[in-house]
Amino acid sequence: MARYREDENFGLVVRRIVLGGLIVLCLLLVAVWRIDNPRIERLRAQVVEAIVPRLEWALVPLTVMTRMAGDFQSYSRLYEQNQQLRRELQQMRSWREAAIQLEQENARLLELNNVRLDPELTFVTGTVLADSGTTFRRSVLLNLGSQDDVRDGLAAMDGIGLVGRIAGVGESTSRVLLLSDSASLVPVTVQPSGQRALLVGDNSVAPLLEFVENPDQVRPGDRVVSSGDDGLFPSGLLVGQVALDRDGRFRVRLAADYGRLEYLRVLRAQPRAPVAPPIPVGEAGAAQPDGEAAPADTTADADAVPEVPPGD
Amino acid sequence: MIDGGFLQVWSYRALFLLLAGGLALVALLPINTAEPGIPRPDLLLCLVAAWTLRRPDFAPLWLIAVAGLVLDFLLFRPPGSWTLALILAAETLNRQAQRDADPTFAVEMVQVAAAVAVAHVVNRVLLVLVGAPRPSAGAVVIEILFTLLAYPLVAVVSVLILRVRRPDPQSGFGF
Repeated sequence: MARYREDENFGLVVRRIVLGGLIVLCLLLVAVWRIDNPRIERLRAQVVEAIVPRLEWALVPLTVMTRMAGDFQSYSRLYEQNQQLRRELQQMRSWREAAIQLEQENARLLELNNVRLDPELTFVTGTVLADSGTTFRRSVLLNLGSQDDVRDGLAAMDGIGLVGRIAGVGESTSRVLLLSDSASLVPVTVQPSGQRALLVGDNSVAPLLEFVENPDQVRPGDRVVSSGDDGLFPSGLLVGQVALDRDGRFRVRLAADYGRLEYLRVLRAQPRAPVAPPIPVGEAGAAQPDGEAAPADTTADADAVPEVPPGD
Repeated sequence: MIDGGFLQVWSYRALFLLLAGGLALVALLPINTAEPGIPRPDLLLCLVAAWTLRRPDFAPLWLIAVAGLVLDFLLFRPPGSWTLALILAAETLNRQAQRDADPTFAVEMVQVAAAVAVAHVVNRVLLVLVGAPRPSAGAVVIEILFTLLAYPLVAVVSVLILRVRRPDPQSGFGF
């Protein structure tokens, strides 16, 4: 009996030690994550790299199956959809006409202005592997990584609009922080008026438009494009349309189809400002304006072009 | 006999890891990328609670820590934050299980509710302390509610299908 008790005590002590050790380990990890964030995020990228591609065999069929089930449900609304599509098609025809006219006009104006479009802007297309967002963080994992020359900060788009930026790159996977994540901040331009503003994610489907220079000139329905002021994104990428929410704040209805993020394009801007060498801070600060000078030029040009048509 | 028990315990531990992996897989599916709206119940927490209350040896703390850490890394949470919450929830449940070896299901629900609350409070305090971004309080409350709604289901599946039951043979089903 005494022996049994001893064993039990021993077990209890071991359990306490394990518990204490694990608590300390977790606290340490969180502390290190806070203090030396890049190192832990690199570790995270490696963990993701090690696990997610291996799950692809399960992830892909499951995703496809659920999506097919969703599509199947929509068969029941076939008639409605048909009607809706017809209406949309009609609208599109008129838009197409308008687009062709604008394209010709644009070509003429570009020639007049002698604008050189950035020829070094290439893109690489990847598949969305996984939705790594929890309720509170919005991000997806992409099957592109450093081996595809993907780097932190690059812009990711679906066919139409901006989706987010790369944050966290592994060898063959990378994470896209969506515009709706609360950590996402993107400088944008509201189109006809040319107002600068900041697109701030707040975990809702439509991010907030904040710090508008002159809110009177912004109207719901205005186009929102990236301004390129951060030196990360090229300017002029379509983001979405301005909308007013119930509290009277400006939000942006995103152009990208967030419901179906399947293929994303990562825009690889030319490496014009090579990543600043980790030497003197003062020098790096001085070097930055040089790096930003190039995008700033294109921004000015891009802004100048759309401003002409309204007067036309 | 010892061999049989040994084999059983380790196969259940493997099953635990497998289930945690399955939950991670479901969480990672890129289906609902648009709607951040409704929080999902934390099924891993339910699983940990159901197993810890019945057979703590099937889900020992270190195993919970391993599963929690991998999920933290994959779901882009501050690594260790939710793991710590899981471990402390498991520890509270384990103490309660030692005090009351065969509770009714209503008592068990209260115990689990307390543990879930402990997990979320620990997590929130930690996030506040390090100044990390944290979810809104309303969303957390909804998540707690969903987790508690999902718990009976997880418990029933654990007992009836996975046969994780209290070792005590007198208590019938071992619920």
